[in-house]
Amino acid sequence: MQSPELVRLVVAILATLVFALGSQGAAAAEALTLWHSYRGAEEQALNQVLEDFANSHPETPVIALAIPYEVMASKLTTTIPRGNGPDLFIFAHERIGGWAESGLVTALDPYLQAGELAEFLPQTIPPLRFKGSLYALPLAFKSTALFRNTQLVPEAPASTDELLSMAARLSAEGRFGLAYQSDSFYFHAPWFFGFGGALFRNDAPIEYGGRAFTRSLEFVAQLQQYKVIPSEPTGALISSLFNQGKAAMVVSGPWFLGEIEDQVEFAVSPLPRVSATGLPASPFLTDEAVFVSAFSERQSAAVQLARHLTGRQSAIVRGNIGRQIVAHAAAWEDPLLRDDAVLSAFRAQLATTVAMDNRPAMRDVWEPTQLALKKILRGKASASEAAAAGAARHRAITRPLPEPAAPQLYLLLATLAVLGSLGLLLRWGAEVVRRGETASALRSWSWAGPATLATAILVFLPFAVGLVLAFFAHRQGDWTFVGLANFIDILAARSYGPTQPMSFYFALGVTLLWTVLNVALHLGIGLALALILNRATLRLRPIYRVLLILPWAVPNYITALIWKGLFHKQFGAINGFLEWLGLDAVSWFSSFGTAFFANLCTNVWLGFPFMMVICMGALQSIPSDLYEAAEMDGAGWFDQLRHVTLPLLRPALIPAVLLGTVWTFNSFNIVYLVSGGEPDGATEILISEAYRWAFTRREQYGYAAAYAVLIFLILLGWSALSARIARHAEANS
Amino acid sequence: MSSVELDAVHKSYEDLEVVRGISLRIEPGELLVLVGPSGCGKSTTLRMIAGLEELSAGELRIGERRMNEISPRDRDIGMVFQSYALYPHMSVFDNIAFGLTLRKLPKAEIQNRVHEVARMLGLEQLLERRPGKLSGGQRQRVAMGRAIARRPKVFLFDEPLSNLDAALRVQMRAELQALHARLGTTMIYVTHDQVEAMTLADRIAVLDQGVLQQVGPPLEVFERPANRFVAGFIGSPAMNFIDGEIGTRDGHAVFTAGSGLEVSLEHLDREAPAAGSKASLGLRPHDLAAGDGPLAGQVEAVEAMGWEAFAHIRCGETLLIARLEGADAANVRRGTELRLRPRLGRGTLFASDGRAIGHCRAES
Repeated sequence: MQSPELVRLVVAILATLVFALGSQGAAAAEALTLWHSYRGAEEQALNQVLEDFANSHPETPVIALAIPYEVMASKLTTTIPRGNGPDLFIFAHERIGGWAESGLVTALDPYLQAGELAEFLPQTIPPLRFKGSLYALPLAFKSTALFRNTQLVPEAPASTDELLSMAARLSAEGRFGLAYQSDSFYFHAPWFFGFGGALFRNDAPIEYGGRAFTRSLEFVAQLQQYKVIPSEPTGALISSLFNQGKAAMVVSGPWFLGEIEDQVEFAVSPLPRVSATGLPASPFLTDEAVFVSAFSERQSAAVQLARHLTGRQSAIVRGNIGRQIVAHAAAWEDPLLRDDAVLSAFRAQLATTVAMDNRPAMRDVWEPTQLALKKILRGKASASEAAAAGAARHRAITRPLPEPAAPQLYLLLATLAVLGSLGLLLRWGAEVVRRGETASALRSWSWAGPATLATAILVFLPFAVGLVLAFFAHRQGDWTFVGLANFIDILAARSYGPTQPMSFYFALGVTLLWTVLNVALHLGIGLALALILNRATLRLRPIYRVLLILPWAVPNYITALIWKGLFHKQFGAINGFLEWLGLDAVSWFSSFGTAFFANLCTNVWLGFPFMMVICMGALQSIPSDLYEAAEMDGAGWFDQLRHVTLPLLRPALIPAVLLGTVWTFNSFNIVYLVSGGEPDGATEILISEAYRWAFTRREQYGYAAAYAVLIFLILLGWSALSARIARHAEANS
Repeated sequence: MSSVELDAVHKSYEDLEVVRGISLRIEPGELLVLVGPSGCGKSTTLRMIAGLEELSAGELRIGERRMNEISPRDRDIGMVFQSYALYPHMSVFDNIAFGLTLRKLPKAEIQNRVHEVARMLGLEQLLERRPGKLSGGQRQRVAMGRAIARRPKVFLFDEPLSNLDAALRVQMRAELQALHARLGTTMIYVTHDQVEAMTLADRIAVLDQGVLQQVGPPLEVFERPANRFVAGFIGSPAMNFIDGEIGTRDGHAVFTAGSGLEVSLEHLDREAPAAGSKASLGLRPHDLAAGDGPLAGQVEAVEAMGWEAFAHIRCGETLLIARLEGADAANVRRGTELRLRPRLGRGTLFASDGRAIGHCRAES
């Protein structure tokens, strides 16, 4: 290409970029941006509603942007304060508390006219309030209700007794009377509230020791005993059971509608009354609402759009096309919605829902209740034991913040450390200058510089940040300097005794067992296969080699999920095989031994190819005449293996084993995806335990960082030891 | 001490026939050298005796016992490999003791035997070392020690000296001879080096293209080669071949060649072929002398060895090598003309198919 052409091309590219950026800026100034996570019919309905708005409000263009639901919340918290977030967005109401406290969303009361809120179904308004102010307008609401296969269940049960007897009658030969995600508090909530439970009677979201929780657990135990519900239920499993007619009734929400196949005849009705109390089984209510950003420069226009989206006409469109259970009261007078049996059923369920609390502390409820539910579902704990375990877990994850510590001493030490390093650096620099090697040192650094910089930014900087975090405690965006308190809490095993799951020492023990067994099996199997593949007489060797390396080539999370499926209690292939052999099915994730075994199988499957490849390479470097000499010396197959192969493989295997040890020690994926720590966190290893503290338990980043630092120290010690082992081995060979 | 007997032994790899029917008996206590160029099948033959290769056909007997199906470790054979094949992770002691340990000999017996062998081979100071810290010659000795310590019935050597330098080779050759004399065990020794074959062997077996060409004591093979291949392979520098035909003079058969060469065949130990038949005459370099003779040509190269010299002389199409002595050796120059005469009554007569017809062996 000639140089003028090149210049023209560059100019064209720059111009395009400038135009793109400029036009975006201009659009942001004129148009309102709306973020949502709708797809399919819901998005279609939204677009139609927005079209109506464009016709009636030509002066206010709207740009709608679909953001995946999983990343929406984090995108909002990062973009809005920087001024490049949306003017309004559609999201569930649970996070209002946090958003209101951090000033992300604006209170709408000043923009509303008196009586305007009366347009909406009354239950949909309170969840949108936080500390007296209204932060969003309701679009739709979601709750669970009872789906039933009308061929199996012509009439909906009116009480839980009826439900139980129906379900028991319908459960036989691979069919379940009732299916729902029984290990999740979200789906368990109807029973909890139906037995008289309530949220936030005191500081905790629920009373774990209270009668309502215990009785609701007893109810689940009953379901489990009568074998009317499937084990280890996932959303996908429940959909497939219902579609195959293998689940007569399902407790689920409106999203389930999209998963039911056309041939299934079904109906939806409100959940039954709890027979023991006479109270309705009350599911959680979640509002889907439209929020206005506190950083929007055109809030009144945004409110106008929000009003349009939530208004009657729009609600009818969203209900009819988008199949939403809309919050606008008058919209339900329209025959399109009123006469829709499914929508009306959810509308009827609304009367007995309990709004999901929007306080941040609500998020602490999930892990402890899941623990209690799983204990019950395994059938090995009484309701009160399970409730007590839940309470203990709740106490542990909401552990009080450590006392703030005086940072002076730490600062002094840190300053000394930094000064010391600087001093060393300067001394080294002076030494270079003294030796007259400045020029060559500079040249060397100019080569090494980019890599050093990249390593510093990508490795050392995050490491340093992690190290510093370990000295802080984090709650709700506030960081408190606590000195060594996190480390002390971890090492003193404050929340759980050293012999209990969730304590550092228990997890360390599991991690060590996990590492030793894995590496031993990787090596044993890898070596055995390498020996087989190394036989010159083996036919189809290249094919075997490829097949055996395959487990390594498949992304390990996919493999992990496949193995998790294989170990499923009722539908897994492994139990299928055991039953075919006439053995009892094993509930793999119910006890430590079997859950650990499942993890181990998965990781051995994933890990042996690496050792096999290493062994194959090393085997090929052993001269064949050594085997011939050994044969002449009288060595049989085993003697050759013991006296020739193994000693000569050692130099290659030692580094591989050391490396494998570190990988396995930190193999988060397998533990997280296969057993998920089951039962009750017993199979967690250190790294997955650290993850839970950071991301599922009130974002206790400091505590998690302290875990990470301890893991680092253990591995540092191991590396130092292994370097000595390797040197020793090298000296001996 | 056992005899080793090969009976019509064949070895082929798929279509490739490497050993084509070798029959050979090695007597108890004999040192037989299998010699031949690269790829002649000598190593394969040795490995079949060791049991490291299976026989494709034929029979192998050691001490009159059929061995075809016996595994190497049960044949009671010691073998020294070209690469020595020492176990790199074991000390010299352990290398030598390995076979004894596997045979579960008592510890004291193992100690005794290893030290005895070490003494015999001068390895006493090296017993604690690893092979990596030894010189080539020392490794060679360890490899021999390992084979000796087990006191097998037969020793096999696969080109054991080829990785050593010339001086060490000479020394090790002498040591091997002494060892054989001392142990008296049957030994089969493979080499491509005819000097090793000549100096070590009780008998030499010459192989070419998987076929046994000649077996016999070194001098007999040297003096009376069975064919042109053996004649050319044994002896250094190689034998000269002059193509010509049989004629008669004064009623006696003579060999004549184009250059006017005429050699009397009166000392031929067989009856000469009919006059007019094609033949070639093989003359060792020392059977040619400088002097007034019918063979003349330009000296192309001179290998001066001091008292003697090998002169390469171009006679028409043929390149002749002559061994000159004394003044002749001192005076020969490259580029000059040299006349040669065959020593009277020497040489081997070959038929046109390469087979030896007979040998002229007059005392001169």
